[in-house]
Amino acid sequence: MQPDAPQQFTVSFAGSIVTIDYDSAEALAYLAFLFGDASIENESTEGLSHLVLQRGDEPGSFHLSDRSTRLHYGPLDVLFSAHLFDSVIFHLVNHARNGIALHGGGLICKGKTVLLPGQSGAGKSTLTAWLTSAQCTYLTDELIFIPLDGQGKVHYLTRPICLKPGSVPLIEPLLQPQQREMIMKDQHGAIIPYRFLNPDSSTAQQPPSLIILPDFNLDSEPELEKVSKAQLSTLLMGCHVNARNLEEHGFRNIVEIARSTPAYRLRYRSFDDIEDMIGDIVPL
Amino acid sequence: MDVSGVIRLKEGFLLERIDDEVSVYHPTLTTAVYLNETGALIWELCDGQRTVAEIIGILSDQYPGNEAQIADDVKSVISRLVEHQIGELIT
Repeated sequence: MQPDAPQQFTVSFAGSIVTIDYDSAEALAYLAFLFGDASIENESTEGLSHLVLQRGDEPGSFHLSDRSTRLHYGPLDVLFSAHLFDSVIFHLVNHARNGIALHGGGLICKGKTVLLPGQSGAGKSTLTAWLTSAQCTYLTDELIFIPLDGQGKVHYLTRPICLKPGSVPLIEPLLQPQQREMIMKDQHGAIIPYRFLNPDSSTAQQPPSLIILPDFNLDSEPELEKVSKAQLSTLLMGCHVNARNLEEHGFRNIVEIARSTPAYRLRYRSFDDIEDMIGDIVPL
Repeated sequence: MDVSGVIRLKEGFLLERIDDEVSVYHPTLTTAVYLNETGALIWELCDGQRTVAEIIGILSDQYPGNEAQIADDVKSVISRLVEHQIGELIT
């Protein structure tokens, strides 16, 4: 499609919608690469936000703006993608009030739904990518939304796997040679379609039945350690991204998740470490 | 640490006791602290009146022979509460 006039791309998640105006086929292809799996769901919306992705004056450069505020300018590379994801996710959770939004990865491993919460740099995307290549079904590497009442479906923001520079050399060998030419990669990291690691997908809606806290640390001995419920509650509050929208910041709901879900911390330096330890808790 | 000081806990924190441990969260400060079983015992003794030394003394009486470890644990927990701004050491 060669749009002549601005068109609109829609990203929806857990009842929130972000629309992105774009003005070129290149922008559309880029948005489809990043958000093609974040489909429109037929449910009422709690929030509608608006971004604009426009061609810049310099060839190959684009503006990302939030109404009147420029958020980023440059080529459609990994860095631009990081800014766009940050903006979209912010708007998706900014008004979310009927559930807990957690920063983390999610997969299904032999019928068991696994949540990998963690702050930036913990190694959750790397572990998510490895588990996907080990034939777990990828759900997300970034965001999960668990309804407060435990009744509604759980939402997983499905997007390509986003890796920091340090993780790219670990994951690239898992790809086929021709796939390595088709990923987005530069000095800021890489963005890899999850289907390159495992083509299986799922519209899973069940809550996690196991939590693994990744801890990628080259300086520590590998370890798989059971995490207590109180400790898990505290850690999950650090990954809770819409706390201010909820009564008591959703603390009691987080505690209920921690009470009902077994959790482990997985400290690893390499994928060999993971293979040695993961089988004790995750069927592969 | 000045063990003659009194640890006063900030108002407004939320607390959950789970399996002899404690998770504390303060919504205004958006800070969360985990206290293991030992930390939970120390937390219970932080009543805003007792000094650090008194807390050490009470636990040392309950668990004789471990005074040095108890002193380290008490100071460690109180330091964490102060660091996370959930408590304030008044000297």
